[in-house]
Amino acid sequence: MVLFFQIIAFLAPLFSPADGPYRCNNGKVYFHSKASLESIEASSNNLRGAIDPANRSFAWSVETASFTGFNSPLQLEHFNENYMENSKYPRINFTGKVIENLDFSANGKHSVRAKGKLNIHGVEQERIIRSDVEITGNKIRVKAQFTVFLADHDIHIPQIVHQKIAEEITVNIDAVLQN
Amino acid sequence: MFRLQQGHELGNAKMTTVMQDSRGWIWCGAQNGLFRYDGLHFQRIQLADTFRQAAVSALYEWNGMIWAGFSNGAIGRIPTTGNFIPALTGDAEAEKKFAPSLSLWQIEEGLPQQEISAITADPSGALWMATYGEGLYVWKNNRLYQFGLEDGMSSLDLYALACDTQGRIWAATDAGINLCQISVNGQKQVQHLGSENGLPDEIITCLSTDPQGNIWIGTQEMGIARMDAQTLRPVFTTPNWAYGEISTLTVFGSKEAWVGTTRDGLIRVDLHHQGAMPLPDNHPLRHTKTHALWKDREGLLWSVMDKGQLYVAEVRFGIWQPGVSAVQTLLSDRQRRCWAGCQDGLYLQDKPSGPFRKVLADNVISLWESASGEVWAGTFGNGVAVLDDQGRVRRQLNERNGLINGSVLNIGGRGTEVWLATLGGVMAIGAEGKGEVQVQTALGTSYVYKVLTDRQGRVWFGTDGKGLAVLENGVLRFITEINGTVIKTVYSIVEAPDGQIWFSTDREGLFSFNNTDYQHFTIENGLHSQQITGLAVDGNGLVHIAYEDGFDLLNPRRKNHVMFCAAAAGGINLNALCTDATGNVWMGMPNGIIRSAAYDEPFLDDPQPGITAVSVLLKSVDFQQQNRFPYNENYIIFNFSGLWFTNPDVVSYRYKLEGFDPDWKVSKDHLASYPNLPPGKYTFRVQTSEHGHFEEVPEASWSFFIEHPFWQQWWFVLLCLLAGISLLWWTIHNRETRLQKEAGLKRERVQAQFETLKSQINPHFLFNSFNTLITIIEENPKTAVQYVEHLSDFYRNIMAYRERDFISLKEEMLLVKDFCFLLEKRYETGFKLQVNLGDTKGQIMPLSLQLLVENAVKHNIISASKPLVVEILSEQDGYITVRNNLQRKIKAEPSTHFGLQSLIHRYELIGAKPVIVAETSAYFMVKVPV
Repeated sequence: MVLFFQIIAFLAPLFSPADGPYRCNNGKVYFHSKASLESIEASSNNLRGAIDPANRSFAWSVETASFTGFNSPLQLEHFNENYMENSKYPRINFTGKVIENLDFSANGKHSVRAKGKLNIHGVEQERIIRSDVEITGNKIRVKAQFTVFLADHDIHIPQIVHQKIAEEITVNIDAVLQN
Repeated sequence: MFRLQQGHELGNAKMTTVMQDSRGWIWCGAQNGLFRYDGLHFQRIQLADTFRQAAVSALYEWNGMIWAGFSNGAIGRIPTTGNFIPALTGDAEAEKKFAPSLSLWQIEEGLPQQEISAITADPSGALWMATYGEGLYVWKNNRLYQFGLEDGMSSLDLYALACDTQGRIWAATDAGINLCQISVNGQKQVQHLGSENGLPDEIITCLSTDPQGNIWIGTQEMGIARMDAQTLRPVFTTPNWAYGEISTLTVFGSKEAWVGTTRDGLIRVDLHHQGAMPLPDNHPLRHTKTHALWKDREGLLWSVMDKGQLYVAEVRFGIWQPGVSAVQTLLSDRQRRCWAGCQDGLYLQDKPSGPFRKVLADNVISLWESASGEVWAGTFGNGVAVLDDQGRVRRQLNERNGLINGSVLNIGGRGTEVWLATLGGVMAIGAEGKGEVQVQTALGTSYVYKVLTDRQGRVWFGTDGKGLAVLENGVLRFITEINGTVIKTVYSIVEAPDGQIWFSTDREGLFSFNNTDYQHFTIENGLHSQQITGLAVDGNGLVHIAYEDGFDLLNPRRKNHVMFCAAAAGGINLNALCTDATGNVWMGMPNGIIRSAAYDEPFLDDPQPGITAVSVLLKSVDFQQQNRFPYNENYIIFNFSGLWFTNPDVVSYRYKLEGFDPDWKVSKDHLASYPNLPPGKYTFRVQTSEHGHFEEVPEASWSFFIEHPFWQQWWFVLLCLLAGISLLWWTIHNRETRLQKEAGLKRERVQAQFETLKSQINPHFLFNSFNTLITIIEENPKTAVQYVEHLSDFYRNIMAYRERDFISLKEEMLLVKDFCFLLEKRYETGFKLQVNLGDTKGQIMPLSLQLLVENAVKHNIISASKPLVVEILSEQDGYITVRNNLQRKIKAEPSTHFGLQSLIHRYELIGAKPVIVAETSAYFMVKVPV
């Protein structure tokens, strides 16, 4: 979280108002765990993000506590306290740079790859995430789907729960940024 | 030397890159396609649309698949053991369906957008992909990672990749080399090598790994360099590089590198003296661009040139000294410079591979280098000139200062002793011109063509007419017959690195002598000819046998393994072969000097057989997986290959189906077909050879089964046997049971008859009957006669029926009526019989109804006041009911109960419906089946 704000703070003075960073406060994150016995879905509408067209860098962040939609309140509690440990790691962050030399002034759809550090549960993994970017005027809509292996982020689920929680979680992002 | 590879399958495809897979197939990437090549035919690999508009920019084999990188960043793959269907079904649809195709590698992270410039794998199982524009990617643990500028890469434009023995990935950039690794804990590590590390040029355009695992670099301006893996500094460089930018390179052993340039074609770099040799000026590939090079497992060099042409070259043999012709004698000195003696003089190179200059104007026919580095040049008629290493004549030996003849055919020697074979005889003198002149008179004045002093100090002489002579410990010995072959003239004698002596004769072929035994080689052993003009043995022990029209390479470690190389007519002169300090053989040809390189790297020296497809009933099967076929799928066709790019046309095959063929079949065909194979276990074996001899040649084999039909399977036979046994047992068992039953029935019947008889002649019955008779005789003599008639009828019927199993109901009723007549007479109104059978017909056991009536009489009170009424009725369900009103005697008649029990039992035995016995308060009733 500190890193996220550092980046935002660092980026902020660099932009002139015209091509300043694109920002978003209400992006949607949706995840889906499909285990043999149970399917779990949850989402959050509190994804915050910023993209700086000048150097193609970006920062995304979402509070783990903002996820809703579990199958039961108990599940939500387990998610927050046992797995995500959101008292210790309240945020999920993804910061990095777009690999392609994307022209942010060109309206239209682009498929780009975002390379960055994905921090979940306090464990940072480098990831390349393929994203669909749609630019219309001063708006950028970003959509992406990727998988997260729980083991990559040191999230250990007891053996007995394996049938209920997949070890591989599918994540979807949909956010509109504006400058 | 460079052969263009063409095929109609290529169309107008422009090649971009080339590689050989582990099974020996050549893969060629093109502007608009991918091909697999066996030396004869190109097979086009189907490409998905993603790849169509792009060019193959990188090829690599990993995990049993060929990975192809494209100029648009796409990556495709195809299994090397895929279903490369043979073109034999004639079914275009099926062939298209099963045609091998490249499939897009689909990963979540997405593939790069920029050209894939190289692909390589490291020992940890990670796949590295270099791009031109996006840096380096690595696929590790099912995740894709990128090495970009922020990770320490010097540039995002990468030209090449190589993996060193420590598992580090070398990436070539415009700003030096990046050594990349992912540490155990997942950290990306990048180390930069630049000019501060001694790189001659920071623009590194290509990388290559040599057989020892060293990394070689090719640069934009400064030639090539070998990097030391420990110090990471170059240990071999090519200063004064004059051939511009390098696009690709490959290294042969520790001897030479082949370098592809962007404007000067292919350059050979000798790693011993750093000499760089381009192709001859008039060569079509001299001033052209090289796109790709590949060294294959036969030691051939594949190259993709400027306009996308694919060439293959046997670079091991090459004319590298075109300046001199009609060489009579050849010497490579300790500085690896060539001395060439020709009719018009003696020529010398100032540096290895350099141009020749004339150092002597005589007709030089023999050359020898002394231990001190002086070169002795024997001439035709003008004696011997001894020259220093600069080619200056130090002194002359001629007839005036002790030479017996001025024509010196050969010079040999070791240490301080020099032997001269002249037209006037053989003599020995001191190497420094001092010492005694010693004439070997025993050899006479006949010609001696060759003198050789071997490492053991023996001196060998090849004579014309007296065979082979050897001087050992001062004793001269002639060898004129070897194992029955007469040796008259010996032309050439050489000592191999292993100490064997090889010598050639005028017409008996070649011999070797290993100090105990001789071995004889003729055309029977595969020699091209027995007209041998000269011999040399290279550093790998290969014997070079020169002829008028080319030369053979004989591998003495293999049986009958000889490979012929044709050369320009005119042949190789007797003395015009020599072996240099690094083991290469040089041969003087009419059109120049040819080199046969003895690479210190193992290459295959046989065509490699492989089974490429198996079809059953004309359908291709996956023979890697399936090797059992039902009895009716027994028409099998094998397709095989013998990859031998050196000379694909000469490959011959020998095959045998173990379990079917008694003998090997030799063929030039690529397939063998076996219709109608009987069930059994088979092994198909195929061998390949390039010279028609099949001793110790490589083999490919595949074992399979044709199963017996189910009726020949052990389980089926067993099942049948079991069923047979069961049936037999069941029959016997049934018969036994029936016999037992029959015996039981018989016994019962006999007993019943006995009992019946016993009861009928029961004195009581007779006594009663007679009493009745007495009463009626007086009153009614007529009735008395009737009575006696009925009595006798009754007894006669009993006698008549007892033997029979069944009688008709009518017969039984007659019997019953006789009996009842007797009873009615006796009891008068006390006994009544009522019969109501309707028209019921059927069979019944004899005396059964009579027995029941008798029982009724026996067990019941009979009086006029309480008459006993016995009714015989027929029932609907096929029973006859006998019933009486129940009025039991107070004192029961003694009874064995045998009668009724026996009746029930007998009906049981014949398996009829059971006899039913019922008793109510009013009636006693027995039902007997009809």
